[in-house]
Amino acid sequence: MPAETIHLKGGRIVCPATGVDGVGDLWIKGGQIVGEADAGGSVTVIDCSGKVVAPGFTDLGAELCDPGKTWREDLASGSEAGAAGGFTTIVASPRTDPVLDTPVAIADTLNRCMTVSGARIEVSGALTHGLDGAHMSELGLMVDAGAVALSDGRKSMMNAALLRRSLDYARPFGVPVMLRPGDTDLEGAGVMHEGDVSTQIGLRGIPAAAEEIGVAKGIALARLTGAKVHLSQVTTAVSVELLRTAKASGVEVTASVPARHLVLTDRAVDHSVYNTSTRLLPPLRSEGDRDSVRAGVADGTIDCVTADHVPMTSLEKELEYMHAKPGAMGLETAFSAALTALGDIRTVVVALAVKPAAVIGREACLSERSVADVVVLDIEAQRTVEGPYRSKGLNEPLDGTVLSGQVVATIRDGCIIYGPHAG
Amino acid sequence: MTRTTGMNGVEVGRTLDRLATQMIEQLGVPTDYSLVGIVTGGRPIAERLANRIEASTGVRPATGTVDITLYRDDLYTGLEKPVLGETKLPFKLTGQDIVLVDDVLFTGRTVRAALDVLNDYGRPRSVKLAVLVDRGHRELPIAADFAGRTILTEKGDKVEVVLADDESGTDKVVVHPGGGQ
Amino acid sequence: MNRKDLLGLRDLSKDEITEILDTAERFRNVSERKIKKVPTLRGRTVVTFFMENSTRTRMSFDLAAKRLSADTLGFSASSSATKKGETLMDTARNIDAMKPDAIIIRHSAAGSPHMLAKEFPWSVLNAGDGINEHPSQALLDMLTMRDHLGDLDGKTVAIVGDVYHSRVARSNIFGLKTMGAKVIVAGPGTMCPPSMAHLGVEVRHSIDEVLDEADVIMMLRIQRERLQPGMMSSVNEYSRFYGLDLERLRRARPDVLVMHPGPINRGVEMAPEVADGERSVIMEQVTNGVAVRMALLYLLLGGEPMGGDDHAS
Repeated sequence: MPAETIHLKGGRIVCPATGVDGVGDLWIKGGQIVGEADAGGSVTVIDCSGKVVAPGFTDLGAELCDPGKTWREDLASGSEAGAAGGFTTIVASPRTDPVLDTPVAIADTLNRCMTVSGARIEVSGALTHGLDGAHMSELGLMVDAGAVALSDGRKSMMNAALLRRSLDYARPFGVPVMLRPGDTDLEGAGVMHEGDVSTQIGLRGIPAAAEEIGVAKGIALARLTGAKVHLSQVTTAVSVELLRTAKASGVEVTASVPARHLVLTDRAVDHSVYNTSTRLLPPLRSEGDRDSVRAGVADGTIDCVTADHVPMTSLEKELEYMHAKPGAMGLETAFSAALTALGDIRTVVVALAVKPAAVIGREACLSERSVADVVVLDIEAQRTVEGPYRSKGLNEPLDGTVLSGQVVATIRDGCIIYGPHAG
Repeated sequence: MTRTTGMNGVEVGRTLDRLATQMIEQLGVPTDYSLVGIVTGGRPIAERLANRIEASTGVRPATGTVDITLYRDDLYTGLEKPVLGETKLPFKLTGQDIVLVDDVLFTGRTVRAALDVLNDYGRPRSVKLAVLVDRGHRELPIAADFAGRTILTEKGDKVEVVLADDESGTDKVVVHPGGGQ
Repeated sequence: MNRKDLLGLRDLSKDEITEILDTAERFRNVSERKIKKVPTLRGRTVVTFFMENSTRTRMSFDLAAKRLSADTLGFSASSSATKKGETLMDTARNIDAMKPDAIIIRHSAAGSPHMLAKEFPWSVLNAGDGINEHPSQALLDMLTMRDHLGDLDGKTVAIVGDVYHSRVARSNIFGLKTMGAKVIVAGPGTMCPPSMAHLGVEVRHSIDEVLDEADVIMMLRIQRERLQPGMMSSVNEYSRFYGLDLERLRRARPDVLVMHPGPINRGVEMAPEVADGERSVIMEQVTNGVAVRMALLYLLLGGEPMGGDDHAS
C-alpha cells in the first residue's frame, strides 16, 4: 500500500523552470508536489543527501513496437525501461504494425497505456497512412483522440510539396510535427557515416549532406508555414550551424539529438569490429560533429536530448552489418550518456526534462501543485553500462562503456515507479 | 658440461674422409648416384662429401636438398612452426640411386619423412643413407648404410653439430645432457 | 604469424606479410612437381563458402587446400539453404556442427568474415567481403611484384579503375603501404573520390598521369554489372581516359609491370595486345594465387589441430 506522502529529503533540487538550485526538501502527496504543511498521513522518506532532485524526463519519440513487433518491446516493458532511465513521460512513435495512423488506433493505444506501471506513455500520430509518405492521415481526429504530436516515423518525407501541405494542415491543431531530417536518395545504400572510418573499413557511407539537406528543408518549410516543426535526430556540425542561423533569424523550430551521439563517434563501428549495435540511422558521426552537437546542446541551439530508443533483438541484429536493421535501445542509458558528455547537471535537466516537455506543451517543474513527476539522480556515480536491461532489446552500443551518473529513483504522478520503495 | 663423446674439428674431418672413402668403394662411379642433403643439417655434410669424392675420383656426384617440414609427423604437437626450407632436386629422380645425407641419425622419423618427399618427386632405383653421427634410440626400422661415428646418448640429450662455412677446423659435435636445454 | 584468422591486410605487420610471401615461394615448388601434393594438412577439413559468384578464386582456394591434402567442402550462393532464407549465422552454426578446421568465405556484406571469426573457433579466411578487403589477392599481387622488383619499399604502384569499390585495391593499398611502397590511384571522380586520401594514397584523374612514375600498373575491372547510374558515362569515355593501350604502354617505364586481378574486359581496361604482351604478368598472378593460398592455409592451420587430442610421438 503506497504511502500517502513521499518526502524527498535533503537533495540538491534543480528546477530550471523556477530557477531553483539548492539543497532542500520536497513533499509529494495526491499525485502533486505539495508544501510541507500539506504533507500528512504515512510518509515514505527517501534520503536524497548527496543526490540531485529534478523534474522527470520526457522522451519525444521512442519506438515501443506495440502493436505488431512485441518481441522487440511492448508498452509494459518500454514503460519500465523508461522509468529505469528517469523518464516519467515517453511519447511513443507511430511506427508500429499496424501504424498508428487513425484516431481509433490512437485511442486504443492510449487506453492500453493507462495500465502501465512505469513511465507515462503518450502517443504521436503518423503524418501519412502507413507512413507511406503520400497520403495524409486524419491529423485533426488523431489529435482529438489524444495524440500529443505528429510524426513521419523517421521516414524523411521526400516530397517537399506534400510535406509543406502536411505542415500547413497540421498547424491549426497546435501539436508539434516531428521530422527526421534526411534525404533517402542521398542516403542510398549507406550503412554508416561517410568519412575516413567508412573508407578504412569498407562500408558504404551516408554523407552528412543528406541530413543537412533535410535540416534546411525543415527550416525552410517551418519558416514558410509557421508550423511547429521539431527536427529529431540532429547530429552534424553543419546541421547545428543551420539551426543556429535559423533561430537567430526568428524561425520557430526545435530540435533534438540522441544521447548516444553525444558520446559515440563513427570510430565505434571500427573498434567494435562491425558490431551491429552501432548500425544506426542517423549514423554515428565524426568527432568534430560530436563536439559540435555537444556545444549545440550547451548553448540551446539543440533544445532536447532524446533516448532515440529503437530496441531490437537477435532477429534484427545477428546479421551481416549491411543487413542488420538500424537502431539502438537508449531509454536506460540516455541520462548517463548526456551527463558524461555535457558535464553540467542543469544543462542535462533542461535538455532531458524541461525543453522536451515544452515541445509537447507541458511543463517540467517542481513548484507546488505541479504534477509530481520527479527523478532522483546520483551524479557522482561511475558505472559500466551492462545488462540486464528492462527493455527487451539486446542492442545497446554503450554496453561496456564507463559513464557518469545513475538514476536512483523515478516518481510519476506521485508514485514511485523505479528505485527503492517502488510500488 | 659436455660429455667426452663429442667430436672436435679434426675428428669431424677424419670421419668425413672415411665416409667418403667408404662411399667411393661401395657405390662405384660418382656419376651413377646423387647425394641429397636433408635440410638443414645434412646440406653442408652432403657438400663436403661431394667435395671429397670429387677430390679423390675427379668426378663430382650431383647434389640436391630435401626439406621435410611439410612431411613431418610432429607438426601438430605444438612445436613452433618451423621455417620452410628449399627442396631442390636438379636431376631426374626416377631410376636414380640416391644417397640421403644428414648430420645426426636419431629416431629415424626425419629419414622417413625424407623418403616420402623423394617419393612424391619420382621413384628412385635405390635410396641409401649416410650420416655423420648415429646416436641411437631408433623409433622406426631405419639404419644408416654409411655411419661416421656411433655415440651413446640418453634420449633426452641434445646433439649439436656445428660446421663452419669454410672447413676451418672449428667444426664440432657437442652432446648436451638432457634436461638442461 | 600467430593468428586464428586472416581477415584483411589492414592490421598485418610487415613481418607477417614477409613471412606469408616467403612461405608462398616455397609452395610454388609443389605445383611444379609431378605429384602436386604434400601431406601437411592431411585429414583437416576446409570449407569454401562463396556467397558471391566466383570461379577462379574458389578454384584457387580449393586447389590450395587439396594440394595440402586437406578435405574440401563447397557451399555456394545458389545452395538451397540460402534460398530458403537461412541467415548467415545459422548456416555457419550448421557448418560448425560438422567440425571444420577452416572456412574460406566470400560474401557481399563487409564484416561477415569478422562476424564469424568472433563467434566460432575455426580459422576464417576472407576471400572478399563486400567492398572491404580481399587479402589473398593482394598478397599474390605483392608476391608477383616482389618476384620482379625485389624489395617493395620505395617502389611506386599505380592502381587504375573503380578503386573506391574495389576490395582488391583496398587490400593492395593496405599491404603495399605497410611494405613501404608509394601508391597512386587513378579513376573517374566517382570511382576515385578525394576521400581515398584517407588511405594514404595520391589521387589522379587520368592514366596518363601515372605512366612515368609507376613501377607497376594494376588495372581493375570495370564491374559493369554493379555500376549505379551516374558512376560512369560510357565505356568509350572510360577507355579514352583510363584504358591501357599499346601507345600508353610505350610511354610508361620500359620495365613496368602490367597486372590485373581478372577477369579482364578486353578492350575496356586493357587492349588485348597489352594483356598478352611482354610486360603483362597476369598469368603469374594466377599461379602465385595457389601458392599464396597454400601458404595461408599452412600458416593458419599447420599447428595445433582443433579439439583433437593427439598425443606426442
